[in-house]
Amino acid sequence: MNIGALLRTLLMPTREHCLACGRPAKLGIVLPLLCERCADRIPWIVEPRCLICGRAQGCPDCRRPEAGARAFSINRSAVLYDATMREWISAYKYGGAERFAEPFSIMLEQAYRRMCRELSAAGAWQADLVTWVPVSAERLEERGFNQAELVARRLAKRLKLPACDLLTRNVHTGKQSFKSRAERLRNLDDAFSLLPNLDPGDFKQWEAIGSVKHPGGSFPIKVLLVDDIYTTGTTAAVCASVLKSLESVIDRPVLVYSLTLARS
Amino acid sequence: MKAGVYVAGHAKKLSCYMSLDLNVDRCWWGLQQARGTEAVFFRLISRGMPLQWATALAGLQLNAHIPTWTNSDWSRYIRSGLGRMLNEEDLASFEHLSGIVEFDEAQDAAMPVLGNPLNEATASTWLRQLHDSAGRLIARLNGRSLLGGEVESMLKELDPALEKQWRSVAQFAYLQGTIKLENAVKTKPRSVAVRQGLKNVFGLGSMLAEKSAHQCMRCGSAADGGPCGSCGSSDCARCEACRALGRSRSCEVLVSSMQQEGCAASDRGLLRGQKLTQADLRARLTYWNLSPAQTEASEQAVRFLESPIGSSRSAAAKQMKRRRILRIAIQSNTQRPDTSGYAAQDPSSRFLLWAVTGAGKTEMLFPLIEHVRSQGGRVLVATPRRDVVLELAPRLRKAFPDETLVALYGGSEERWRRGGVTLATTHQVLRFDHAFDLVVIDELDAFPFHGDPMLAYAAERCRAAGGRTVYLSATPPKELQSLVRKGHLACAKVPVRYHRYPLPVPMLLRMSSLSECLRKKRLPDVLLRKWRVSLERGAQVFIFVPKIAFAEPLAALLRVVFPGIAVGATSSQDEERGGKVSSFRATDLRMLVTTTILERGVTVPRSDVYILDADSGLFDEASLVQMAGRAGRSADDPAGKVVFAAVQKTKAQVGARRQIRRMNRLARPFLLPRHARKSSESKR
Repeated sequence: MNIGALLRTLLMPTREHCLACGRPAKLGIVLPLLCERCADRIPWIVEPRCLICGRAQGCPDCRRPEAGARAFSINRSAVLYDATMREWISAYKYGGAERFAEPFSIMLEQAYRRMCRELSAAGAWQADLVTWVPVSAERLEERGFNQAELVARRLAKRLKLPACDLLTRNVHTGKQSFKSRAERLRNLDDAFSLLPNLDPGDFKQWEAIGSVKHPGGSFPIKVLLVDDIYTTGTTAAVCASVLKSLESVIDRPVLVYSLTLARS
Repeated sequence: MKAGVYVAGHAKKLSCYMSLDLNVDRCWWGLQQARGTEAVFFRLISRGMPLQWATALAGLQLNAHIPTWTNSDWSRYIRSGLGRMLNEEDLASFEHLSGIVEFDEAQDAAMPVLGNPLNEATASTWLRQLHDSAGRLIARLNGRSLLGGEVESMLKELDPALEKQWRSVAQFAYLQGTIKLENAVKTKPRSVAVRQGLKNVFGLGSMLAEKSAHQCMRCGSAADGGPCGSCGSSDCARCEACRALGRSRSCEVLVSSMQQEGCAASDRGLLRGQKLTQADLRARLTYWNLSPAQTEASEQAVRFLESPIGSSRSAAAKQMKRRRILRIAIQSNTQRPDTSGYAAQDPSSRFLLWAVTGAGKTEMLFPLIEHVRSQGGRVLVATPRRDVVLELAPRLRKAFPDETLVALYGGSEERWRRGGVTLATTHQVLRFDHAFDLVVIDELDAFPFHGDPMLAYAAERCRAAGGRTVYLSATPPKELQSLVRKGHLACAKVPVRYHRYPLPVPMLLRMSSLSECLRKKRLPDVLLRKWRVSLERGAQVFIFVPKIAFAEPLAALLRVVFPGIAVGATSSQDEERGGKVSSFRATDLRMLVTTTILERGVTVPRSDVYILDADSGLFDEASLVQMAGRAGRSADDPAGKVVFAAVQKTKAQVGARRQIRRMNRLARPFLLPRHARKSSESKR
């Protein structure tokens, strides 16, 4: 190597490769690690049509009578689950492209901010803590990480909210994506429960935070439940109903808001 | 993934072992105890700790007085054994993660078969079964190097009975010493010297000093560590570079057959067998029906395979070695060698077959493959693209009807099969370790092989010790050319096409830039005239443009200018590319506007090539030569036309034309008589 080449390698910025398409390009203009072209392909949900589940099209699910009983208040999703997102999310979950957690958490953040604006119509709204849908121990061993936890923790850090591990998955239910609607609904009963030996110190902490915000009054704890994909809303509903059981532990009403990356 | 760790051995020789299935180890050592005369010591240390720790500890030797060690002694021992690997680890979680077992428990879990004849019988039956299974596993593995998950899916397909208990079988083979168990991503403390040096020179020390370096054992790329739910370590690295072939991480096991045990013929010295006599060699070569130029090159290549490695070493080579060390020191960790780098380090085991476009490279390989196969060696032909694999496979099958040929590419049905001749895309090569005696790299200078250190590393790793590499290219990279010029790298040039006509020499043409033409919707008259001539003589017109965005608009403009002529446009983003190329070949399309995507591997019988905006930075000398090589490929129409049209003359254009002319000059002795005379006249 001559001096010129040496200087060049020192001075030239190494061109990074886009996480999604693999081409060398300038990254991070819209979202970190992604090139502009890929970032433009993201099917954002700007205006949810269904005010309950955040779907961008009309939503027959939420008009079913049993839908009213679902334990979470609303769901909002950052993007539509289209071919692009399917590819990215499966690269993230199964393909080992864990660096997607960074752009995904920023996408979630944008959805969260939109959610705040929407809900703040009746007074300032903000979540009190962030938690996520757990995976079974078996899956965690295989995959090495919980896809929802990874993005949720980053989101919480960015929003400066506490991130708490609250739930655990009891049985290994197999992949939801291989099941029909009816199967999914049946499948998930008793699948989740609260983590054993939750730290009471955490609850104290929420109390403290809550009392500062609402001096003297009663207030609900607002939990933000993060997951990657919302399809029928069953996972979110089951997790939310488990989270509701916290009410008896902390003696406060608990409201669960679901925030997912993609809405199918 | 977690693995168990224990200490075992005879009185004076104790060492650490890792385990994927502790039951196998208990039986193994128990039987040793029962059958041997010497007492066997066995102490379980941990039922499960992160696999990368277990592999780091495995093989460590211990001194004899450990029976008295307490838990904290073991903990201290493991810490010192792991050393720098624990730098990033949370020390509070070390105890929990290492899973060191209490003394009583370790006693209970020692060797179940001791002194109990019934247990002994069951254990030995089981081990005998495992012995047979291990033999099968090794046969299946055969030169491969696979992640745990890959082993599982291979066995699921080939040997479902083995799949369920593969860990036990692998553990048995590991104890036997027939396979190697490693973690897929190694943690390497940076060498202090390099760090110190860089710190002094560039002030980069602080950047490099903090993090430990991880390197993927499969693809050689650097990886970043992070927390992992599978092993619990907070410095478990995943390799991003080769994730398309399954996830390689610190705590994933990489299973490969032992190298010494390898089936590679060159290890057994087979390839250094008796030399062929000149007459024999000639006779063999005539069987393949090659042209004189092809014969000459093949002969040189076969002679190269016969010659012992290192014979060409000279004073020059020694000097090279010194320079190499210097270069590596400068390159440090940040820059990994590419093919040329490896070639420069060890030129004597490599051979460059520099054959012009359309010379018939594949046919020249046949004698080489035959030579290596006749001595029992294994051959790999690696090409950059899937389509090439699909196109070559039937040709090789036809040439070698008695061989088992395996074609490997993403989604190939033969993924796990093995044969004498393996044809693979360059990425598939990552799954092999010391497996081939002859490695042929086709289209060395093409994407994605060129400039990818990972694939260059894979091409090195898959070669058996003492194996040879043959590079095939029409446009070898500059660095290799210079190695050839200096006489370090053996090379045979094939300057003439199989039909023995000279290469069409490109004509340089001045035109306004393509974007301007498209804006004004007017193409230069010179070009239009030339295209008309081409179309009238019945030629297919190839038009290369530098950018995808130009392709469709130019095609639309051409449809207006040439009504009644079918014009197509294609690019890497075109889903129907294959269909368009075949309809262009079938003359349903007469003109095809394309990007560099079709610069190689496409043969269209009667074609003229036009390269527009040839001064674009995206067209380098190699790609210009390749595109020019699309013209005049068939014997019926050897004199295709090649035009470089551009605003300005660039180095690349001039260089490409010079390269083609030089090859034509070298070709003179091989050309058909008429042309030999003509080309020498034109030179005058």
